[in-house]
Amino acid sequence: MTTFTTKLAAVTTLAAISYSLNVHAEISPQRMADAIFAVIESDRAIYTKHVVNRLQNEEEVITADEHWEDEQALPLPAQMLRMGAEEVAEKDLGVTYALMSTWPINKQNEAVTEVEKAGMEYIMANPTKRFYSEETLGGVNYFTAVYQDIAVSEACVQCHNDHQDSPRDDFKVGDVMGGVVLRIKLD
Amino acid sequence: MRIFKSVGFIHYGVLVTVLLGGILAYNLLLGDRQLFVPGETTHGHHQIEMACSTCHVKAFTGSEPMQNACVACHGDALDKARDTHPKKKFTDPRNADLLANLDATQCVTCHIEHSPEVTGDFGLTLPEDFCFYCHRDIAEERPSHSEFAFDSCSNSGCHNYHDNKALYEQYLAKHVGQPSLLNDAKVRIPNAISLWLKSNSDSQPLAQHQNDGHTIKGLLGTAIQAPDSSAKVVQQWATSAHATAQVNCSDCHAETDTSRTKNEAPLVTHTELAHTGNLNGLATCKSCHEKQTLGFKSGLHGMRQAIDLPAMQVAQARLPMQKNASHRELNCSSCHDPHKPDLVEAAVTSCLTCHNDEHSNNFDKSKHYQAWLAEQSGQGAAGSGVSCATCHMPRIKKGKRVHVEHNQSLTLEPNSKMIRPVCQQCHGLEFSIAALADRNLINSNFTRDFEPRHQSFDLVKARQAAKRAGKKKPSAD
Repeated sequence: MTTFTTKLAAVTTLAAISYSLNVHAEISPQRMADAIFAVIESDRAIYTKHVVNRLQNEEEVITADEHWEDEQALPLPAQMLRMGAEEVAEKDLGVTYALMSTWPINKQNEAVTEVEKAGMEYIMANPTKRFYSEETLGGVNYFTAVYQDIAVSEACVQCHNDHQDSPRDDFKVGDVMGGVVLRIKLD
Repeated sequence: MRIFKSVGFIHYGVLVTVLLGGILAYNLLLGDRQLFVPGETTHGHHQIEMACSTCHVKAFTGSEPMQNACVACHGDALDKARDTHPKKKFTDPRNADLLANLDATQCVTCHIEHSPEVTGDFGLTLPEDFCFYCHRDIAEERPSHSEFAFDSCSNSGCHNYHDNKALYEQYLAKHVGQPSLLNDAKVRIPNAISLWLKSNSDSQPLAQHQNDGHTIKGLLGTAIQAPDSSAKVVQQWATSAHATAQVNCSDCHAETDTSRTKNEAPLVTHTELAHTGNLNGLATCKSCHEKQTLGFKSGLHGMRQAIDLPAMQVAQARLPMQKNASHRELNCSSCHDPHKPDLVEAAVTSCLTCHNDEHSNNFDKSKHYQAWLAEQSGQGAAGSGVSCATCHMPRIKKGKRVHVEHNQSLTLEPNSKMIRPVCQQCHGLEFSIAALADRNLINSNFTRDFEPRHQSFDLVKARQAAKRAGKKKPSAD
């Protein structure tokens, strides 16, 4: 009887572990998207505050410039994000992300797809909420999340307000300047 | 009777099929493969068109290996050009609609080979208004462009698809108002030997009597003149940079294949010298001149050797060449006599020994040539002369080192790739762009008068004026 109880306990424990592992092996696209965005947002915020803003605006030792190679300058924070996005895209992992805005300096960075347009509208109207949806692009299904892109420092505001191609020149620190759209390919 | 005729027809058909199959198989496996070339190749690839696997990888391969083959040869140049339209910009799913119209992730979307009837400049096989697919709204973003046709985007001095290093707005704005000829007009001086001497200050140049040619038995054989100290080649060597840098005979020459391993570089053997009559030692030269050798193999002069084909012969060129140079082949010693590394000869005479086109033949009428003669005679300052090589083999500065780019094709097409590494060493940017946009002027080797203005600068100046006027932008509200 004791042996039977022990075996039953062992089987039950194994089943529980197996169930538990199965539960934890799955991660929802939304949770994964939020986690990836947390990394993107944090890296970019740190680069903006502690590299670009400090060296360009506070200590004035080096500038950040769109043509950073020719000008021997720092890449702009938006360029750093974009370069990272291109590196990730090259790895072909089924995850892509991009910056977009209602007031883009480069018009190619306006919301393009219907979901992007809806997402931009939603996050602008609801600055503390995130937008999630699914869409089919080029015959492939994606989970799509849109997050607020907030001006975290004076460097962001100054560059966008001064740029000749920027449609707006009244951004302030803390404003939502645009959005980050993040897609996860669904099998 | 009907059955007999039928069988006879079948036999006839089989016979024809076998014959055709035999001819095709012979041409493919033992012949020149011409029957399998579906159309004339572009000028960039015609030298290697029979090396099918270089691009096609293997028979009936898919698009991905072929795309990889394009990148394997052209990827580095695109990276150096800071490619404005790299594949990685288009793989984001948000561009799916654009890619459905024009798949910018594949080279063959714009550059199809074997299609001479639709191939234009730069190997482009799309109609020239292809920019329209993605930039049809350009007039909204840039009202100044509203009158421009979509087949004029890539006019010389406006935009390139890949390389815009000298054409982006901020760069033009930075160089507005420059004089045609800069005050400090001089090209960089290659400095490999002076840097070597600086870091080997105790080193003494090898003298004529210090040559070790006598230690290489092969060189003393019947086919090759013995290189005793009075031999012409030894005299030449003793005044060369090779002797200055203590490179002796045995550093390039070997007696036999078994003695090739000195300095871990393949050495030119007696047998090779006897057979070829010259140094075909690309691998030998590479042991010290790696960057130059790689550059040579990346350009039209050396691309056949990059895929282990025999060196290109002048007769294989599509450009007009000197008839009496047809037999010559392209390797290091075609331009550089290895015993007398004479950079002056390599910079002009070597080029004109083979090239016979209008631009080349007008060189001796140009101001560039006059400046070149003045520098060679000591009347002009170092770096003030302009040779063929000055423009087509730019001197590249990285850190303290200035080396000569031996890929002479790197800045040829579109010719605006020449602006930064070449023209701007001596000339203002607008002058340079305007000159390179004038095909007749180029053919005359810049011997005609021309108006050194370009419309791109008019647009940039207008934008600068608008910025200074400080037009107020609309707010979010």
